[in-house]
Amino acid sequence: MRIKCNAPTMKKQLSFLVLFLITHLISFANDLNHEYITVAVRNARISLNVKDQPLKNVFVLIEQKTGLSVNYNASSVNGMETVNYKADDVTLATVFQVLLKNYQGSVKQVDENHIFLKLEKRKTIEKAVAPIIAAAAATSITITGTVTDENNQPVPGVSIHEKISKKNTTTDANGRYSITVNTGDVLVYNFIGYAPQEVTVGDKALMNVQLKVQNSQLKEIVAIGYQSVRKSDVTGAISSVKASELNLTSPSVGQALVGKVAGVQISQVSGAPYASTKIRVRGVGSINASSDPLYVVDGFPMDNDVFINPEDIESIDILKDAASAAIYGSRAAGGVVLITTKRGKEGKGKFQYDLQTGINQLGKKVKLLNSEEFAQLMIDGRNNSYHDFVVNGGKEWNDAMYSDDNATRIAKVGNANAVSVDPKFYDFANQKVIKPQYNTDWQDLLYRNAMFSRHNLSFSGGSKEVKYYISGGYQNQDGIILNTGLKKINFRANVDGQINPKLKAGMNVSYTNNQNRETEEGRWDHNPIMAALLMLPTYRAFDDNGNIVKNEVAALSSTYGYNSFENPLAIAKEINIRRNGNRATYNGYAVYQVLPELSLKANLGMSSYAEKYDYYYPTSLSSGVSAPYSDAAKAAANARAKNTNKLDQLGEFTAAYSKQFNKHKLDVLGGYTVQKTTGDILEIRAEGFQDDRIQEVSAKGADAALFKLTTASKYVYTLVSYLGRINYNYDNRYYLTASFRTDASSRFGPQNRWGSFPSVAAGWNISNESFYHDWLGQHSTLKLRASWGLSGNNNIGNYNSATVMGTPTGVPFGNGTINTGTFANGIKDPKIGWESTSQYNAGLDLGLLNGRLNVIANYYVSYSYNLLFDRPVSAISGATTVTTNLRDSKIRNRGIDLQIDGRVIQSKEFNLNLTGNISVNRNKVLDMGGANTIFKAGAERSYLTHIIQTGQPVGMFYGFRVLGVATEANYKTVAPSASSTNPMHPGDLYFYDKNGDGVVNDADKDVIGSPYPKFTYGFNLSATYKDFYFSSSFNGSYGNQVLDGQDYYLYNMEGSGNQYADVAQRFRSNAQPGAGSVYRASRAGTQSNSTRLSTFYLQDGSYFRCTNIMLGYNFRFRALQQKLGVSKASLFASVDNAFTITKYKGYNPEVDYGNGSNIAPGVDYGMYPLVRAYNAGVKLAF
Amino acid sequence: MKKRFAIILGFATVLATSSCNKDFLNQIDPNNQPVSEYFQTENDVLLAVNGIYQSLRSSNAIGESSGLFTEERSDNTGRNDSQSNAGEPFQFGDFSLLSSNTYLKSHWVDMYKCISRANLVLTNIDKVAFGNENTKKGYAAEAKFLRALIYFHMVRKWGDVPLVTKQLTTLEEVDGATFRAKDTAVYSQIVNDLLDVVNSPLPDFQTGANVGRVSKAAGNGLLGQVYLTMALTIDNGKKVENLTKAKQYLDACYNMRKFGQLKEIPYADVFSVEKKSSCPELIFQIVYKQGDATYASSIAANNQAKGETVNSQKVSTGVGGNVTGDLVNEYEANDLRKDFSIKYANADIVKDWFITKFRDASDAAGKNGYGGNDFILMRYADIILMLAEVNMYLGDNATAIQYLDMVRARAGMPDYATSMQNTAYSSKFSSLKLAILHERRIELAFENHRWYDLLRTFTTDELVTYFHAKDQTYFGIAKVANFSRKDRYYPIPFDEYKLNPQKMYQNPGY
Repeated sequence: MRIKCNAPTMKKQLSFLVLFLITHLISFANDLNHEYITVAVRNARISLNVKDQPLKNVFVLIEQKTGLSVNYNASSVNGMETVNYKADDVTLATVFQVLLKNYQGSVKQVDENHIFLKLEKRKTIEKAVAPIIAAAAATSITITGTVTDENNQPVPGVSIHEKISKKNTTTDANGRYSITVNTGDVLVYNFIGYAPQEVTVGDKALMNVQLKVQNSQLKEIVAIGYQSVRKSDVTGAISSVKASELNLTSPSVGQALVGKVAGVQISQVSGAPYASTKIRVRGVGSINASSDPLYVVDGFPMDNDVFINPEDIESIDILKDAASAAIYGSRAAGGVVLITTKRGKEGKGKFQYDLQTGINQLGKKVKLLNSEEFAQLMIDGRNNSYHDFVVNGGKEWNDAMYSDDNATRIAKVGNANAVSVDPKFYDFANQKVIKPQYNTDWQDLLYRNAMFSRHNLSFSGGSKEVKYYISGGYQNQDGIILNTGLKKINFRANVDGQINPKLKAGMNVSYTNNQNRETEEGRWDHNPIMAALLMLPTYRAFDDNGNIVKNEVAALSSTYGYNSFENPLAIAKEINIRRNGNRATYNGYAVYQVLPELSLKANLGMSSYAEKYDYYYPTSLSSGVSAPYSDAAKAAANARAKNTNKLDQLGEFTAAYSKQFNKHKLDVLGGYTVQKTTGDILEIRAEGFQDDRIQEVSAKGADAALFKLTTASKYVYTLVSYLGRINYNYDNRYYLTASFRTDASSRFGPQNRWGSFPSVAAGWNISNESFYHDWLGQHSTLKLRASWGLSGNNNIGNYNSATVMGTPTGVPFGNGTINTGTFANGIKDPKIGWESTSQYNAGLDLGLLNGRLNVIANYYVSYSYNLLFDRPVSAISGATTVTTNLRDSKIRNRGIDLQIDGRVIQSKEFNLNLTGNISVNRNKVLDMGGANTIFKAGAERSYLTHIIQTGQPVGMFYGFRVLGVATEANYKTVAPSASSTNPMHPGDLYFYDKNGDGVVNDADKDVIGSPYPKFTYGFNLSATYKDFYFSSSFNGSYGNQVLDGQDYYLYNMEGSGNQYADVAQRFRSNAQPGAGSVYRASRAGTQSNSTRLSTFYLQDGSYFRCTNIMLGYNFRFRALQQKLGVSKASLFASVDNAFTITKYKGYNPEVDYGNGSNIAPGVDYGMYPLVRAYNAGVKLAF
Repeated sequence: MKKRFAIILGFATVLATSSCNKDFLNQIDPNNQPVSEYFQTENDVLLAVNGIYQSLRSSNAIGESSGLFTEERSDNTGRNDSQSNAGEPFQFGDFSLLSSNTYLKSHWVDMYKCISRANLVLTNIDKVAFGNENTKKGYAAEAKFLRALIYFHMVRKWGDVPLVTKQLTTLEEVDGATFRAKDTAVYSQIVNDLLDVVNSPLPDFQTGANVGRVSKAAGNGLLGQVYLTMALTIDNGKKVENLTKAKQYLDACYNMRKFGQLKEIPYADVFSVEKKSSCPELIFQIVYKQGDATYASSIAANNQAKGETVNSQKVSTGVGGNVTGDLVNEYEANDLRKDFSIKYANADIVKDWFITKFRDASDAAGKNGYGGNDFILMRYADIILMLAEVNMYLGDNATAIQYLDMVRARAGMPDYATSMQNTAYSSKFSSLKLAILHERRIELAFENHRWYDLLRTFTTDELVTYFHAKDQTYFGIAKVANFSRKDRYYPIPFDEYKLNPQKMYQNPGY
């Protein structure tokens, strides 16, 4: 007996239980004489013939015929009432209408398997008469109509089919359609992005349908790797971003994603047009292996995302938890970014043209000393040094000596470089600054308003048999620094063909060409960015004829103790760096539907990348003190040429089985993949240039020694994998997913080559339970998820398991004959294997207010172990580190990510959406596996900046804690620094003497700051009003610090280069202590000098940034459509990185000089500043 | 249905066959040969021996620019620019060296590079069949000499150091060997290695294309120096025995010489680029190639101060190799070695002494300063002065003075007896010991001997007294008063100490 007679106490709960309906339902009120009942059930047709049967037996018959369960309250519905009924191929709705004609209320199918009767007896009926009704046979009718969207605009390409016969058609360019069906049939209208709609055919031939935008997040399709599932079926932690949610005016995919995804930190580390963003999914779980996520573009695992045309993207899904990512096994510990590109849809060809153009400018200017302030600093630095040298050397001093001329000073201390002052700026007799002639703002000169333009064409469409999407893009982006820029050409063709009902095949072909003009980052001697910060404002950039002046400061550098700065404009213009890359990806697939439940898929792909890098450092720049074109400058000139060739091949064979029986739904995936990557790198370096006319290696000097092979390296690495996954759900209430992957990588030693990566996940759709009862409001949804998974990391480069001989080197003997010498490189660990991350995730998906508010929350804990690690070893090994797994090591990441999407206002003319996310991650090294504390020098020279030790996050800042600036009163009593080059003076910083031994030395170093934010967040506000659309995105980070490595020069009070503006507020004397935090000027070193990392060099890296604001307008002129054939036209204007609120003094608090290194994060050191971009664009669709 | 099965079967076959892919997964580095397969022919051994020599050349090992770890640590050279390179080099002469000093770490690392390369040869040499057993013994002797040489440097600088004498192939082996061995153990290893060298089939001297390789004379000279050092610094009750052995091997070295009297070789010839392959005084040197961008010597150009051209045609812009006033003051009047070794630069921005001992201002070296100077690690003046020293310690002052006078005679200086009549000399160098120390300082200045001479001549307390007696004004901003007992040894580099604080214990005072 499958009829459930519910106890009266359950009545209320049951009667209010409304679950969202996943399958297609129809809902209509009876229009005949049965107007007392509304029936909303599946559109099944059944035949019945019952005579004098109790109603409850009839229900059993219906259950047997349809597989549905009919539930009702026995106190309201009289199951013993006898009926006579005959129906021949009649819709189920009609059956209920007839059977229950004496009742009023509703009959409703609540999910795929349940029908609830919420009825009571009609009071006016005295007696139930059981008529014999024969339902009329269906008649043929031709339906025509127009399908429109919510704005009453016709929608072309809508697919329409009859539900049972599958007869189908599509709308034409004007949204019109025509189809011949039977009355009582149900037509289903489908169009991507819109909710499917079903209409039952009556006797009217005209059926106009208005589609509604699909609005429940949970109904979306999500890529999970090798497959897609409905968002409602997801059991892991996956963040999905649709193309419409990206900052599409951004020039790169990474930038377009900034601030959009909870649990994923996307950092704009550079403003260079050719640089990409840094993506970290749920913290860092490694030390030496890279924590970059794996990128999978249309199923093809790749190294990076920079090349893909943002306009080609359909959606991006990020697998955050290990359970989701485990299907990518050994490469998934950093998370997986799945990028799906657009594909053709059935319907008339659609041609779209996008044009975007704009201006990029320096996002923020760094505040520096002006020339008079600088001159004063320089004088103070020299005078203080002179004083200290004389006193420290044991000689007599009096303050009148501040008027000593340079010759006297030099004779006293031996050399000039810390004591001489340029008489141009110093009135020796009166000990006063002379106002400098120039006050050059080098930043203004170096940075420009750079043009940006992007053209994109796409053509898509298709028939039932063949669908295509073809696009081409051209992007021309000048860098804001002179002589930098990017030209990029993209091409893509995605074609899908249905060869016969069982066989489907397709291909993706894409090609990208990039032509970069780059600048070097890092130290000022080759980096215009840092040079422009440090270059003395007291010197000019151009001579009277407008030519760039060179060697002015450099020539005087050893005379007056400046750094040997060359004019930054010359550095930018004359160092010539080009990078030309060609990337092509070819991917073909075939799916064969063996059985309705079983399909086999083969996917073969290939990706090639060829790059030529050319570097030329000219003879026309100063080499240290030496002038351009001098012998030293010629000796310094060099050219480098580097060829990189890479080929990636992939074979992927999967079988998918999908079956629904009763309430059980089962999806099984099994597969085998094999991937091979080969690389070949050749780099040569040439010297001996006599002039700069030919800036290629070919113009080298004649001597063979001037031509060197820098790198010659080939590599092959291979990966063989088996994978399997089972998705099971019972009744859309209970979900279970289990996956398993095993990978073997050539990168690891034969003993530990195979790694296994299992995962399990479970979901519980509480809102589909009978007791849920719209507990959180009508149409609310609630789902709980929990998962565990294991993922791996093999990002340690190739050939790390066998100790090899080094590249031979030369040894001269005799009179200089060069002999070949060989030696072993450092030892390798033959046992090296995977690094693993085990992650638990618990999550909650919540849909409230009729789906208008969606919340996705996750809590996770992950443990990474067997860390891949350059373990410090004694130099007795011949090296200082060995790359190995730390067997007993453990790093924990735990955190929360929360995503909230709300459609705040939804009306016909005005829509307002607000989405936000917040991510909290806490990283901690729980166990170093017996290995030592690791120190890392992450900025200038060799001074240590970072530490990894047990109990702390990976890569914390390490150094001394500043207690204050010493005063006349305490400078003799505070603990001085060990190995100071100059004893403590008033005005020097003094540090915390942790062990209280009276001297500050290595033993007093400590963790002094964190590069990790307490939390990061992002939010987006978007709105449409009539034909206007608006969106804005914000993101930020709170609580992290930045180590400003530039401070080694930019905040050293030497007066050897320009300084941050607040150096004007430095300590000068007890009477003039300045701001109280900036130490005194000196060119001779101080207790506080920049060679010892302290809290003085850490800055608050918190920021709040508006990453994007866009305003657009959709044109709807009929003339446009009719005369020009334009179906859609819109115009928009936007600003990227509109503003940033931060206390950080440098350009960009998100900077990462360590270039993704986990050991030395959060360092600034002459990096390309962020760009503010003003753009305007047009989109036209035909 | 049959067709379907065929497809499934085919698919399964693809899976099954492609799974057996051991070869596919065995990817071997195409760029470099596995060490385990390297040693096959005699030539392989020769090249690996060359590889040891290559590691000596580093400025962080004992190559020409390694003066930071010896001369600058002593009272000979210094720097007044406390800021350059993060102030780290300054710490050596300022006696404020921190264990975290990265220059110190690099020195340690590069020294062990030499040792591990020597161990590689010595561990694998037996894998190769040699046509002539003497060739094999010669290669082994070269490797042992170089290993002993480096250990000798290290044991003097750090005291107890890890002692490894075979190739380490696994992490476990490395960890197992990461402990400081007693200096006596290190010395006995050095002695054993050098005994093998002096008993090897190596020639007395290397000539022609082999200049720069180890010879028996070098083995004897070094073994003599090792015994001398042990006699004076290792308190094992064998002082006289060690001195006797020192004398034995120094004599053996001296007796191998190819010249008559030292004075036959002009002082300038010793450092002449033209004569570097033929000068009979030279026993062991690191060879540099004139005019070559990669293998040339830059010592001449690097030492030159601004405005000067004596060392090199390369235009200098800085202060060059800075000489302390203390050394300048030590030269006796009319010592021809002074004008050859140092010069006062009187440029607009430099008014100070710089090193001129190493010169190559030839056109061949050119304006880039690609000098041909070999860096001399051992020469007869050194052997002769050690003979003076060992005889003095053995109580034979007369013989000692004979040797001392050989060096003074070449320099155009009056003999010891005469000089002692001169109060300027006798007041400063009141004992024969101090006179020999003085002579070594002047004769061998900037050749990286001075620091070891001080360590050998003085006890730690005497060393502290010796430095504290010096005039601060001769040392610029480096503070001689910082010198303390701890400075007898370098600290164990912080990273190495941290590997195992018990077994890699720190030297006292750091």
